[in-house]
Amino acid sequence: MALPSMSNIWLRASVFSMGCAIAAGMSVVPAVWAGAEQRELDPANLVREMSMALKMLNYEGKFVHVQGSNVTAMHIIHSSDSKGELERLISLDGEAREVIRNNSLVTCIWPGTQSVVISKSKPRDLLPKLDANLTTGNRYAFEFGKPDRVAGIPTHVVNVIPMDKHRYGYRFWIDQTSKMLLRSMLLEGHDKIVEQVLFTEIEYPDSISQARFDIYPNTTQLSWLEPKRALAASGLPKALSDKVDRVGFADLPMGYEEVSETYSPMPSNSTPVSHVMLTDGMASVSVYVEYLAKSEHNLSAVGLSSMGAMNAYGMSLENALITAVGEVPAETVRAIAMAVKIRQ
Amino acid sequence: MANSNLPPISEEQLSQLMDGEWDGLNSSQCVASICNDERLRSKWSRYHLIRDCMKSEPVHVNNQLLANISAAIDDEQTYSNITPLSIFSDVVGVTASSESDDQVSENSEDIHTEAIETVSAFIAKAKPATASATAPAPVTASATASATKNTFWGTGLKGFAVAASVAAVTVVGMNVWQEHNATSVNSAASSIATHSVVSNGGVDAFSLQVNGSRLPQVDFVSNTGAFWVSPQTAERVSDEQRLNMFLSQHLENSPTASREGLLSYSRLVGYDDQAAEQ
Repeated sequence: MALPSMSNIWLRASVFSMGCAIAAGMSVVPAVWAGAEQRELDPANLVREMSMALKMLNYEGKFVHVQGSNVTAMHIIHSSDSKGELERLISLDGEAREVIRNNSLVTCIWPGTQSVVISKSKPRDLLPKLDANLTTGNRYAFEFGKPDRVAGIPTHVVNVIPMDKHRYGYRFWIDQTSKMLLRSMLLEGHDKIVEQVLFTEIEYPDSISQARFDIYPNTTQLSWLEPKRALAASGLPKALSDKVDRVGFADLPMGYEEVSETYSPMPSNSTPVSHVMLTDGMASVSVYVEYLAKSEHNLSAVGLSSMGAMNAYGMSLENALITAVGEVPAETVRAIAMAVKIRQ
Repeated sequence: MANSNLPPISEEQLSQLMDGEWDGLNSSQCVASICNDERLRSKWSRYHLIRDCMKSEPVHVNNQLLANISAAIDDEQTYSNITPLSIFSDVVGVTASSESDDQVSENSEDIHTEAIETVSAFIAKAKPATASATAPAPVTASATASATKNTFWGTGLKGFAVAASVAAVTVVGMNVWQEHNATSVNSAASSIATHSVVSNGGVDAFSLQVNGSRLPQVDFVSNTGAFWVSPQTAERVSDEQRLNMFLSQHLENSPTASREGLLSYSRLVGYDDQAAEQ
């Protein structure tokens, strides 16, 4: 009597453990498969595909932008076709600020202050692609995180780990199918989150009406600020080119390189300004040199200022006011501003 | 309760019977004495349960036995209170003071105290430990080790004391766990705790929220907005318009901002000139 009941127990136990194994297998197998698929992908390549998806896809969605303790919800519409890109970004909180970008112009509208800032947009195709040697440059390490889910969509997670203190770390949540960026995080040090973008809903329509990118008619009362035409260093006569190419650097933080320099008056005043763009492949820093006598410097511009992930460092020289601005740690904008050498 | 016709049986004799050391004992008289004494009967069954547990033998627990054990535990004043570790020294004090009420012999009192000291030493070691579940194991091991030195039931009372102390460790261990989780002892004080427990200065999660307190001051949506601040002074930068102009040019010309498309403009759109002035 005891033996059959014992074997009964064993039988039940075996069936139970088999059931457990099957149940576990059902959840483990897709995870293993997903892991195998992820191993075949290159995380750096996935980040490149993500950049392409941001430019090439039609999408409309809502996201939350977090900078420090400030949280803003935004609506984004992006369309892309053979004619180019159209984008519209609308703040859903507080003042209805918005940015409209087409192939030729970027229009920033602040209805409350009745002001519009327009700048000429650069064709994105002409911008340098993500540095192909980024992964071998000892600046960042790329690796996959555990797959996650954002806005109801399964995502790959890519960690971009900085190799020194001169850059932030990045974490990208990338739609496994469309390769669209659904969540991004800018990290300083081990665990300080300096900025986050998180989609709460997103759609990929086949087409989006062009009328949705028009500037609203009631904006005619707004004051418009338009920048003067910038002079780029390339293809200019020698005399002018000397004027443009005036900013050099003594000792830049590792990995940062100069990619462009322009010379133009700023929209807000007539002071000539040199604008130098530096990048390490992931992050970029702008250096502005305003050619002003020291007596004309606004001393409040000197030192460090920050807004979320953006840092700015102002430095007053005898004949110039230098400001470095970029989505990099405070120490980096300071080091870059200190490294500026103006050619007389 | 005890039959007055039979000579009373001592704890020592009870141990001898349990260990099978029947030499010099009138076994039938002893058995009759035990059967006629409710206290000895319950002790007898408890000793058997403890022996079975310590030898890892199957234990036949019935409701009556459980009821007996519960009753016995209730009688053991020392072990029935939930007491936080911070006042464990008081527990030992309570134990010592309650010894006089206890029915155990002088000898067993010493053993009992020794066991409590062992447990105290262990708790002192285990104080930083987080998992209460592991706490009783070393004590059981030490009890087993000591049991091998003497005859099993020669240390029966000691074994019982240790077993009871294990219960105390478990109870105290629960408190260690609870305190470690920054929960107030109030939560554990539901039905059995009789000690009034004073918070020892740690963060009390239950006291953070005060009933009826006003909400912290938070800006309304229309008043918030990202704006430039100086980290040194935590004050707004006075020439924000200039910095924003730089930022907008930076975003448009940045080779890396294009990776995030218009998303990078959310930094600029998030900027609220009016909010910054409020």
